[in-house]
Amino acid sequence: MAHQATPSSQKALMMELKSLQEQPVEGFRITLVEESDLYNWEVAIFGPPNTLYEGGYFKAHIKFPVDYPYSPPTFRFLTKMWHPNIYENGDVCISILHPPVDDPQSGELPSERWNPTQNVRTILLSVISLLNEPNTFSPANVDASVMFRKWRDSKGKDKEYAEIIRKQVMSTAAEAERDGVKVPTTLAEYCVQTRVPSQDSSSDLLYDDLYDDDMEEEDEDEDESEMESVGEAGGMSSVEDGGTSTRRYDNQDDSGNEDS
Amino acid sequence: MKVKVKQWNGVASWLWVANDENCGICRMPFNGCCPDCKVPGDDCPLVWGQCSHCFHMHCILKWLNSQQVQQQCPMCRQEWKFKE
Repeated sequence: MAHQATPSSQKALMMELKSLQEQPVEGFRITLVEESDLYNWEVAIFGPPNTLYEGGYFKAHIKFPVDYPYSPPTFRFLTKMWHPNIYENGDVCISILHPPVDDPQSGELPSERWNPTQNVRTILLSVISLLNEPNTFSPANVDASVMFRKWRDSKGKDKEYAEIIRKQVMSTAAEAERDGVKVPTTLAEYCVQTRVPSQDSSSDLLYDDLYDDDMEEEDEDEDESEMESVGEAGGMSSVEDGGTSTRRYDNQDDSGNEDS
Repeated sequence: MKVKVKQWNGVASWLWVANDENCGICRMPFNGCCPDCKVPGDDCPLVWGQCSHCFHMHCILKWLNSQQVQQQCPMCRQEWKFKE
């Protein structure tokens, strides 16, 4: 690679990878394809319990462009997938992975497409919901789409679609074993216990304060009516006290310094 | 006891007053700078849209300039207009 200033995508990817490994998305495990390459990620996906994909272990690669997050990554399944919105080669077709160019042929609004506030987390959530809820309006695999519609419209009587998927799911067992992975098959196992980040609590307070300041101009009318009610009932005064008491505490601190 | 101050150094701190902590585009803290800048502060300012969403100026400009279609806030997809 040519020697140049670190592209900003590298920082963004590093942060996302860290966040996804510390607070994973249910049913996904993320690693780098090669330790040294931040632009190629490997995703292992567990089929959600109580669906056709239960017990499945699917592999995919996410490839990021150098100008990420200004351009979207690509998402390609390595495991064979029979699905209306997954191409023969494994490429996933979802609108948020498409750059927002004006293309009236696609049937996708620019507003449904990629933008730089999308991230791997939102992509993974889109992919997992896509598995069980294919979009038959713009199929990438027409045969799979027709078959899926027959299965859905016959309320499961036409079993061809379901059988192909179950077969594919079964055939992923070998790969899971090779990787030493036990695929979760109950909801309890599947759901990751998410830890609530605690270090943010102080900054949340700050956020609330600033946000309140911001809102004041817009809520002028409401403020006036609130003031009246406070004057009459004094119901709001406890909230006010909470705010001023901290301020008073600070002041005491200051005056203490002056004394000595 | 009388003390004569011979020298003193003023120290100040500053913060951007944004209603979020990180820029939604580059994901860096607002009080830092965008990934293309080295020094936080007036050289890497924040800008607000009329939709009230806030970004590093460099980040939102880079995004808006790459769009041929209607320019939208990447957060809420409303038409992007700079807040005065």
